[in-house]
Amino acid sequence: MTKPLTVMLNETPHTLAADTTLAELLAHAGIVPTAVATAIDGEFVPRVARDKRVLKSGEHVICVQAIEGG
Amino acid sequence: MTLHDPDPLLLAGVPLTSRFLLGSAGYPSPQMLRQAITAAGSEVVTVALRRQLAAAGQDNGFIDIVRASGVRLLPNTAGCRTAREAITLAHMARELFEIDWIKLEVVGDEHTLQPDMFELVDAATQLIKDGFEVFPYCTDDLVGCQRLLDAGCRMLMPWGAPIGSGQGLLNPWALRTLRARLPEVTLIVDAGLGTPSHAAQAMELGFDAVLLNSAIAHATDPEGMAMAFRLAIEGGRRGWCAGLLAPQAMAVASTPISGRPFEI
Repeated sequence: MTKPLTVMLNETPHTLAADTTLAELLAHAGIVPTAVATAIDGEFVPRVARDKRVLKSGEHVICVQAIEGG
Repeated sequence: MTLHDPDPLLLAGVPLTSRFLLGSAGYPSPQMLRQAITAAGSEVVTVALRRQLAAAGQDNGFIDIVRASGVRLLPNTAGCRTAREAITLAHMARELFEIDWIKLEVVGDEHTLQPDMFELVDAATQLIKDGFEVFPYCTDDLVGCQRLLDAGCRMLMPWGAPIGSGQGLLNPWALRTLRARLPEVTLIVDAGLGTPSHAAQAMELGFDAVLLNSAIAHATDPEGMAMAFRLAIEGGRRGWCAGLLAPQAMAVASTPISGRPFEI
């Protein structure tokens, strides 16, 4: 049995099955995929690449949404 | 009523009738933001990105208002402290807002929120290679600004004073120098303006536009303040275009001197 992985999503830990993709993480967290942009360990991951981007244990996923700003 | 501007602003190739760029943060309600955008007549409104908080990741009411207003969005990279962070956030903004304009912010000091010109140049260099139109929020340092232009920026947004401070133009000499040394560059005063007269002063220095947020969002009547700034910006611009009287050290009589009634 493959060991589960733990990643940080906006600094909150998530334990997932091995080979979970970024797209699957967003679904697991209940996030509307078109409402956010994502980065892993400081590198932008485009929306179209999320379902092929397999997560690795210890990675930090940042997920941002639009807000008002100056 | 908007005064006819014989020379509309061309911002990154986009013709605009308004020289008033508006920030969307800090309004008491989405409705007040909508009223302020209308009263300001702004065609460009800044927006931002933050870590997703709502479980569903849905837009909040403020963003809905901005999107529905039909203005052009200018996402910022507020909160970034390095070029690398700003580059990543700019790419995230381009995907979410579907626009390649980016107000590039990289802060170098937490107390003054002073832009870090070195990180700005690094970030701008990469982002322009990546196809962005970079609007750098910068200091009024002439050489630093020239480096940003060398990197490919087509406009500069020097601060008037620290963000949200409302102090007005702390260094008019530096801003006047930028205008004199960079006559062909689009210059926008961004940040630190507190009163409509500050905006008028910026326009009278020959700046092309003004970007502000806090002075309107935190006013008792944001809609009224937006209108006041709009009129000041239009007045200042019209004054600059009409040719301002150069200050003199001594009096210069306005009434003709020859033929004075009691002259002997």
